[in-house]
Amino acid sequence: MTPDRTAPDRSVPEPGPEPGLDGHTMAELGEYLDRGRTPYDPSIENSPGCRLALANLTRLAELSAGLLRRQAESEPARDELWIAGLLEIIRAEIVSGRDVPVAHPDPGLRLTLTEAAVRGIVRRAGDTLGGVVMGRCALVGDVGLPGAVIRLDLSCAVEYGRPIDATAERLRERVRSELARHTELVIGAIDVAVDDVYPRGGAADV
Amino acid sequence: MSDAELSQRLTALVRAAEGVTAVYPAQPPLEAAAEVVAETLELRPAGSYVDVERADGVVTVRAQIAAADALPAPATLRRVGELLRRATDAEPALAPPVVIAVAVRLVDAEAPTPTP
Repeated sequence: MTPDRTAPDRSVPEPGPEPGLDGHTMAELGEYLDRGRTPYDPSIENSPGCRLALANLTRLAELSAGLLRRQAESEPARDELWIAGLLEIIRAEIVSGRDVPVAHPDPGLRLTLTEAAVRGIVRRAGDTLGGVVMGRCALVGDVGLPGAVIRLDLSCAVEYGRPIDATAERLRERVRSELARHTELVIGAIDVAVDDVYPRGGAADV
Repeated sequence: MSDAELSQRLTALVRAAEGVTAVYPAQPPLEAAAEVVAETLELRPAGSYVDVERADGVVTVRAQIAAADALPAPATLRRVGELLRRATDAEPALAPPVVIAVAVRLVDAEAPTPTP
């Protein structure tokens, strides 16, 4: 029988260290969070990739708890897929990526933020806005060239009942403000795709 | 002063800077792992995360940090870069040119995790 090459690959990946996690895996980080980050593990807490992932996983865990509380009235299989998709995005975003420069008059000083740090700023801005759970956060354009106008390509889920246009606009304003505070990037368009709606209360604690 | 001692001193300087919540090993991962082994064997002082590299007549000092969300990250970066510049200018073992590279790996909104 010929394998169906159009079907998505749902095979479980081989366990092992993942890029950006300094020898750890997302599963290990999930277990570490479940244990309340005890006993203290310096190899996790001293890894910037692990810390980024932990912050994102914490917000996602809070969201998942909200979803489970109303499991009876929702579509659990669909929620699981959605959370799995978010985990995949988080996993991909913790890799350091490109350097985002910060100017200094001393030419011998090279000051940068990693692209992962910038994506972390954007994700937190969205996830803490209220009524929004961030999906994709992509910086499109030459982030390494000072003064170059870049575009943001974002996706998110919005809580049921919230006006989509107004929520997307609040998200744009929040992200623009946070990036202006923490970077010297010149932000042009911020494209927001609302690709899901989640029931009221699902992200109340996020 | 050896480069290892200098690295340890610069790491302490960066760690104490306003707006810095963590200092990470600036060496490539394999080299950083070797550093951990060296520290364990007491071949190198612990907490030497700022990298001091000499190549082709240029000294490069690299630091990787987490910056507190409460302060703008560019201000923290400049503060750390200028601190390192002043420290390296005052260090007779470092002949110019000295390039200083500071990277923010994480903008940190969490309260610091208490270390045991």
